Amino acid sequence: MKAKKVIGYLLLAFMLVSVGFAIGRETAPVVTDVEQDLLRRSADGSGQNSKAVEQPQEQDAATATSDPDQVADNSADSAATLPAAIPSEEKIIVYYMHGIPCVTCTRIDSTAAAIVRDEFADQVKSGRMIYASLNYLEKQNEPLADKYKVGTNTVIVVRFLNGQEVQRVRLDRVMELAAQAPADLPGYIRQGIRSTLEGSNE
Amino acid sequence: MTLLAAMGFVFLLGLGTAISPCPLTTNIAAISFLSRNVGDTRRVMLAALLYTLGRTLVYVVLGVALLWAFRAMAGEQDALDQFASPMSRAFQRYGKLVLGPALLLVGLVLLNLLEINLSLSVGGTRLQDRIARGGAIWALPLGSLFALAFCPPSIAMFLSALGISLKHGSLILPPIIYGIGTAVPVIGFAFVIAFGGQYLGKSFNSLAKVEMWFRRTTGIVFLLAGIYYILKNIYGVSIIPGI
Repeated sequence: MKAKKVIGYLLLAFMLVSVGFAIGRETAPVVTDVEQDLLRRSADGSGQNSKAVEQPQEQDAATATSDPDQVADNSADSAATLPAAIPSEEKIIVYYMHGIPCVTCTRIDSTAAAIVRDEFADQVKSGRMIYASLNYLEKQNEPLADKYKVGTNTVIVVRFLNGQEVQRVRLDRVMELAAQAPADLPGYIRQGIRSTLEGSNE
Repeated sequence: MTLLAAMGFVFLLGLGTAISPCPLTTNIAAISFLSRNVGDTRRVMLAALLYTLGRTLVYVVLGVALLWAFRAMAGEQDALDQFASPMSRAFQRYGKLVLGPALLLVGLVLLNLLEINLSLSVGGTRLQDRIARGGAIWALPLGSLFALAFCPPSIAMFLSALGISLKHGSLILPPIIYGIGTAVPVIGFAFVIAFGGQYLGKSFNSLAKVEMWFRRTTGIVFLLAGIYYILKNIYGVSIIPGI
């Protein structure tokens, strides 16, 4: 009977600590412009990240890299080491915006990352194209989610000129295709990225 | 698409939401909760009905509010999913934070592990005892809680159902059909398990014992589901590789 009581109290304490932790994390101030960070990052050594670490998807504020096999740390510390100037050239960011990790969501992430890495290798190598996997439920990504009006998993391809957005292609059907017609997913993403490149007169 | 065909599609969207891997843990918890009153067929059926009602109420209230706001405030170029994006994110963010602690708390109550003498007394009986004994009424808030715990596939399918509401000018019917669709697989499994357990109990002449084990299992399922969601959603621990 005593053991039962102790287990009950321990689990209750675990629950209360977890609730406190969640509230603390939700109310912590975050001041980071993720998009400008990504553009600066790509300008830094043609997309070679000065600080690359492996992180699981759920814990990332933003996982962005010119090499989708590598994952860049998007902390405020790393932002401070990046060049201040916004590149005066063309950049394409392929955003994969996701919420809570799920099987279907992970399929979209791996498909989009592989397409960028394998089929747009030249653009990636030159630092012109970046793949960024962002969790829109993280506070630091909220302004970006507001800007692009994202409420569920989606891929958005955005072209920038001199740091200013000039074209946006929304691939809102990724969730539907990943769940119902996974064979059509790569073609849909590929076409979206190509149409952005064509928009840049490549 | 005729209204009937559209409603059939909405029902399939509900079914699709229920059988997608994302809400699997909450579905297991719901099946366990609904089937725990093995010896009382009427109570199992009432709980299933209230669970469906709880889910459907949430979808109807949210759907009507969202469509009303969309019609009143959105421009002609706006898409419903983009208009609803702040609400979608809010439900996912806060739903994922609330779900784990809520399940853990219910698990503690079901297993009678909380021996705190708070004045949780309703109608002369301690609330904890009433829940643990299996009052079917608790299926209603449980259904609502699980409906509010949106994950990306479910929010996408819910918005598709609301898209059909817009197209056919029917505000209430699609969310109702969608809610029923999300509850049907859970109810089906709950009935199979409850009646299987009843048969087992009667066969071995120990229905009370089977019922006790079903209730304990429900409590353990809620505890484990709560711990799973807390670790996954609050601490970001990846328990199942890849997700």
